[in-house]
Amino acid sequence: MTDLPPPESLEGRRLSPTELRDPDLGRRNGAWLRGWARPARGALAAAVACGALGGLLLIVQAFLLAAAIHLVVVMQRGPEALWPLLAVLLLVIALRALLHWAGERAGARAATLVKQRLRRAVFEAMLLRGPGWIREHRSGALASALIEQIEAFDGYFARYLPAMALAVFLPAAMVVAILSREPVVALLLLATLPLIPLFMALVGMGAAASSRRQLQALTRMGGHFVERLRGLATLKLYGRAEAELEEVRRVTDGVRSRTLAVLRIAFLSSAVLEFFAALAVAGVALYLGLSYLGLLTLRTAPLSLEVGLFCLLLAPDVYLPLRNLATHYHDRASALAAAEELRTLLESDLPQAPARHPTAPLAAAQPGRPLPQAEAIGLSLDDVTLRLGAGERIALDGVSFSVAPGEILALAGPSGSGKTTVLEVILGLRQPQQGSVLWNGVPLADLDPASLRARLAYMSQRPHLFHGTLAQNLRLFNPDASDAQVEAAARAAGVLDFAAELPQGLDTPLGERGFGLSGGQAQRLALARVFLRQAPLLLLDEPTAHLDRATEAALLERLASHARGRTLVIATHSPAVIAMASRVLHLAEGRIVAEEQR
Amino acid sequence: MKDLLFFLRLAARRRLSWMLAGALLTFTTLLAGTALLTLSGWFISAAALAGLAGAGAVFNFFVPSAGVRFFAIGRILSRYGERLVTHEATLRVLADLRVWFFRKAIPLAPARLGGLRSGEVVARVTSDIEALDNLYLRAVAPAAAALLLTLIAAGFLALFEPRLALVLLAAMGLAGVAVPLLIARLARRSGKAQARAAAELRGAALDGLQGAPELLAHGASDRAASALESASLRLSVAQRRQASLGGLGGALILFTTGLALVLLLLIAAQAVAEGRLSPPLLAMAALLLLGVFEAAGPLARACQSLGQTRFAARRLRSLAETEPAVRDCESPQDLPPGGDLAFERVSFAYGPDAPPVLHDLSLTVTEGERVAILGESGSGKSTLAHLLLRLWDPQAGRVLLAGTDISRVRQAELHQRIAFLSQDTPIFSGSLRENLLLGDPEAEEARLWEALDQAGLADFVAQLPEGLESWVGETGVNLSGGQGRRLALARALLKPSAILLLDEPTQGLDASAERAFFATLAQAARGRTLVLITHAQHLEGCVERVYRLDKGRLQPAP
Repeated sequence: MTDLPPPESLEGRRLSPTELRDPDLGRRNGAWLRGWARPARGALAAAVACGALGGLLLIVQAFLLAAAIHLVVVMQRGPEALWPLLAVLLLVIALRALLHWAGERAGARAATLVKQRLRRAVFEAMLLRGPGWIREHRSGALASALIEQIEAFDGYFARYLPAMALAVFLPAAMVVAILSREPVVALLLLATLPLIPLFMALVGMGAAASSRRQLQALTRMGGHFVERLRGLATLKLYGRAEAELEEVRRVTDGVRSRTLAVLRIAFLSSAVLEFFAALAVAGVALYLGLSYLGLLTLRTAPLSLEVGLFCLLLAPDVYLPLRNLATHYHDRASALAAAEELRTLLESDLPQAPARHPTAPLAAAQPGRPLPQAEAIGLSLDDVTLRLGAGERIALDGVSFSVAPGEILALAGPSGSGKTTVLEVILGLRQPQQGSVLWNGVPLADLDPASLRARLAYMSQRPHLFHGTLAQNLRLFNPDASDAQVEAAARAAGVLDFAAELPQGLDTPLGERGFGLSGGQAQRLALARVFLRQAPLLLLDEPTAHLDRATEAALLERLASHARGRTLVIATHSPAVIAMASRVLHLAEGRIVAEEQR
Repeated sequence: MKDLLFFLRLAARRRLSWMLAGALLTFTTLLAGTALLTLSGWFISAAALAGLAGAGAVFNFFVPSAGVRFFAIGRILSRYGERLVTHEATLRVLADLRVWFFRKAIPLAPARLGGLRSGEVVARVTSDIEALDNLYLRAVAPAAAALLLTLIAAGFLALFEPRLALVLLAAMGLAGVAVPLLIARLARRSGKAQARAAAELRGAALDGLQGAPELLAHGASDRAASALESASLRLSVAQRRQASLGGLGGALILFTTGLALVLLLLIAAQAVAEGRLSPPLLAMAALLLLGVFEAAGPLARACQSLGQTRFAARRLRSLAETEPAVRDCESPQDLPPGGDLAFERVSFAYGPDAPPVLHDLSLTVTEGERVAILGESGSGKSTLAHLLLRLWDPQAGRVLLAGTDISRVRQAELHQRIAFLSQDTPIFSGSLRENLLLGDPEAEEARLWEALDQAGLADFVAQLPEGLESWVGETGVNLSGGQGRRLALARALLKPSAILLLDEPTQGLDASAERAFFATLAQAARGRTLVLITHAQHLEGCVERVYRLDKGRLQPAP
């Protein structure tokens, strides 16, 4: 019905009109994408069926309209004679309208089904790769991948896939319909149809060669505005904000001229389609006119106006499914680009121990042996070596030590020396390439994750806060804790000190990502969670980094009394924390460089 | 609607000619398409009648067949031009919008842009701007072209039979105005729901990813995954409703086409029967109507997203028109030279309902003095820095710089006087040198290295193959958190200001690096006034006085 120019996104990669950067993009990712369409098969089939029925009704509509006009113009009948035909015509159009609506709904259903499933799967895959991987890729970028990249599949499933199915079927059906009434016109259309994909491909290839470099530049410039806006306060304080205005204009202008250079070629391919469509319609009109005038006699029987009009009405519609496909072709391009990014994100970094469910990250195999029910937990690491990424940087280099049950061990060392990594290796969140981790003498990999989890409390460097009240955040790892228990833990960790001043106390909701709590307050909240756990093994990562000395001292006192009879491993910078430890390991560049008994 | 008009005017102010040219080409494309159909319809009907009457030989087919070819080729060329020009216009408008917003945002930053952590606001702004840049391409140009085409087609029909023109006008009024407005109205709520669901989804994703270590360790990652899934589901529901409304719009327009076609045929048949209309004109009118309705299709799709666009427009405009937290006063004084600073009985809260942060705080620092302010996080230390920079104004009391009330001087001049390192100073994409030169555009090579050295980054930079020219930021060398912090610190040290205001300069540095930094800081400050906000411990020899900020009150530390 329409050939609205696609609302090309004007930035960076989503713009790519075809597989400009990489001609193999489609082959690599097409199958991957179609694999995800499986759960939406029903909805996709419904969308295609609606489109196909609507297209067939278009043939009926042309037939009825031509008949009605024929009745008046040639048979010279009055309006009364038209009534039955027009009633059916109106019915057909009403049906087409309903089918259009149903088709849009089915397409949207298909797309949302796929996106939902994909989103959950990708999210789980991200968690499966563990905290180290997430940090390397930055959670903000990963969240964008989960939202924008997956949203980029919308048009592909909602519109492109149905349009693709129809682009073959409908023109064929229409040509057959025309063939049954006027073979010459059908041949005329048949002659142009196969030329279209051929010429579009030729133009597309030209575009690929000329714009690969453009796109790279576009990606680099794309983020400029966002970055400068984000850093606006800094620019302003350095007196550079006004000067940056010019820079913003210059870069945006650069994006514009490069984008247009790409578009000039990209639009050529649709111009080719239009050219053939127009050529065919004009050809049909001329052929029909000349036949009526008797100037062209390619047929034996005289041509009726009804047949001629039918052909003329249907001729442009033969190209309509192709035009639709072209309109949605950019949906395919953005979906392929997004698929490529997601695939590389997820496939390049397969963890060493694959096939584990992300909700059971503690051990490589499951179910395993339960952890022996000892009073306390002892740990030992034996020659643990862990490399990051493709093995360039060494995070841990032959680390061996053990922790006796009930001991308080501090891990000290400069930032980047491997303290956090040690804790994450103990937790099984990262798999070392070499060496073993033993819990009470049993290799971590052999233990049942659930039995481990029940017996540890872990506080990371950036405690996890989520949308919800303070109390809900406190209960995160102990959903069944009583109010009295929550309050006791909150008091011990000093959460009540600031919560008491809030009008709703512990029921105060936290804003966007715990916005509203300072770093120190968030740490106290996380410490309260640790207290609430009542676990025999405590692993704490920089628990007092954001606290001033007085608060730190008060908290450490309570931590020490809580830790009595429990095993405690703390990564820290703080001298006060080191002072409370019974033993200190100093790390530097992934090795233990000194050990200090206190 | 007001907000959309506001942005249209904004766009038209500079880009009217591009926009008009685009709309005109959209129109000529539609016109050529309609004319092609109309002429063909008339041509074959007239030819058929002439053929039947045996007058085929005298029928002048040259003019109509030339017309058919002309319109066919014209449509292709016009279409190509239309797409290029409308995209050119859109991109130019986009550039204008960005520059406009950036300019508006300067006085707003940081207080009105979500504080110093403006990530969320910025993400929203950029997507709002993108929603708006489609306003012209998808709604305005097609609507203007459709209107013009309808009027011309109606005028043309009126030449033969005025009632046909009325049918066309009424139907296009329904399809082009009433239906889009109806759909836009219906889509308003689901548009809002969609925006909300998208924000929730992002929140859930970030929650889960940032909390991954703890969630995984405690086996609670399922919880995060189901939170994500339910947010994702809410988004799906809203999206489906939006799509359904778009489909409904298309269906209503299609049905209107049907009604109009039937009505037109009946009226035309009547006119033919009465001899007021020549028969081939009936075929022509029917095809004309179909041609004109091609123009209504894009409007249906535009109206579905109009709700969202309007939402974006309102948000963007209200943000841009927010009263800045601080303004230069009417007739600002010149700031006398010097590095004295004083807080006089300052009280402050971030909003009327927000808890008070500073109570009746007084502090005097004379030029060249070095003081440290310690305090628990959340005690208001950073707020003290924000007030000194006049990013916010205190509710009571005043802040003096070189003996002058800072609310009486130009902000630009004030900012020039203070070199500030905030807790999350960004690193910009670009070379290391560019990042440093932000501090002092005139700094010489040796000075750059000196600052790097003071910040403890010189060794690292020296071993980079490209040295100061190394590209940092999103597309360049990845600096670790600590390295980024040191770079920002070097930048602040470079800025030739009388006052050095450092908020947690050693955050992300280990103890030995911290000690080394404080040991050299006094020398780096070199006669400048230094205000050091920190909770570090070893400040001996670095500062002359230490204060402790506790619950918004300042006391000299023992």
